[in-house]
Amino acid sequence: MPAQLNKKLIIIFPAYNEGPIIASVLKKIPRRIQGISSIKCIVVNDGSRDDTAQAVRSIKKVTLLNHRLNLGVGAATMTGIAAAQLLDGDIAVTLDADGQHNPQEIARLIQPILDEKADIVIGSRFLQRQPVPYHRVFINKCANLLSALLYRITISDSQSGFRAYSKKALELLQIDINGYEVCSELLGQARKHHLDIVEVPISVEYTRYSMRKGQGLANSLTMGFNLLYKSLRRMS
Amino acid sequence: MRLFAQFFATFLAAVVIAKTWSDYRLQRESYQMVIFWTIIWFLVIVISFFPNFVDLKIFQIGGKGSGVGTLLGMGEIFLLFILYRIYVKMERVERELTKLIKNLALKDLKK
Repeated sequence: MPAQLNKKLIIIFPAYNEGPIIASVLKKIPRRIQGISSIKCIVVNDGSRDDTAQAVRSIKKVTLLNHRLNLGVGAATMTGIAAAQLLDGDIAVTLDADGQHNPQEIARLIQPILDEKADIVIGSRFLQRQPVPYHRVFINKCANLLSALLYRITISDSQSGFRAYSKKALELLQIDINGYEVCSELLGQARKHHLDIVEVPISVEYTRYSMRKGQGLANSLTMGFNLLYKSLRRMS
Repeated sequence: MRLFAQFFATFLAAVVIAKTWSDYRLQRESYQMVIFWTIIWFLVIVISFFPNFVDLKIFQIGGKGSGVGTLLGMGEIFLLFILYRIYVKMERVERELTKLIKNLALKDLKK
């Protein structure tokens, strides 16, 4: 469809201490995607203490936004979403900077938005059979249950960081959460604004490096507490 | 057990009082706050060393059924209140800080 060719895609990487890997991840971003007229890549460096910023600067055509302090993945994601709005992006994609997501799958992820069948597309690790560490499966199941209880949203991968947002979603989603609970909270906001959510299967690669990152059991408990607290505060 | 409680209370009080006075010397704390915390922690030591005397005094003031237990119960409620206030304030500060850092980051985009 000709109208689709004018779509501007913004790819957002929230990054904290990803110096060793960020450059190689950025090099994997596709230069062309069917239905997309321009692709802009943004790295939100969330107060990294290593050479993440220098590594990003070494890659051409990547915009670097620096958080002066480390705030958390949620804040970095929301800064990226705000930047996508300022750049008048039609679609924004967020993905982890630790290399666990495959940027080549962005085309598949954004297709439901291009087809106007979704406002938010979630790349799910659990719609196809692949090896996922048991503790990650467990954390995800608990988070899915919490999302279902708090927001009445049933999906297979509520904690996936590989997501696509339509222009409408970018305009409506406003949250003030800094930590990992951003994934669940965004779903809550999507429900509140009656946005259409679609899940698409994605592959995921767990390396020793990426396993050191991400959600552990301890911060999952904090995440659960924060979600409950925010929900209670909203109710009051 | 009482000896352990006395040692524990004295140790904590000494740490807090020393830290407060050190902060005062470095001009990070006002003298009013130093006096306030010194009195509070001095009272903690008094309670731990003379619980029977404190019990008696509270009984004389509060009447039948009141004692050190009542005082500690009230103290716990007060601590919960303080905790709540700190949590709310911390959240507000975090929200403001996030906004500031986010706006500074987005300035890089506009350059």
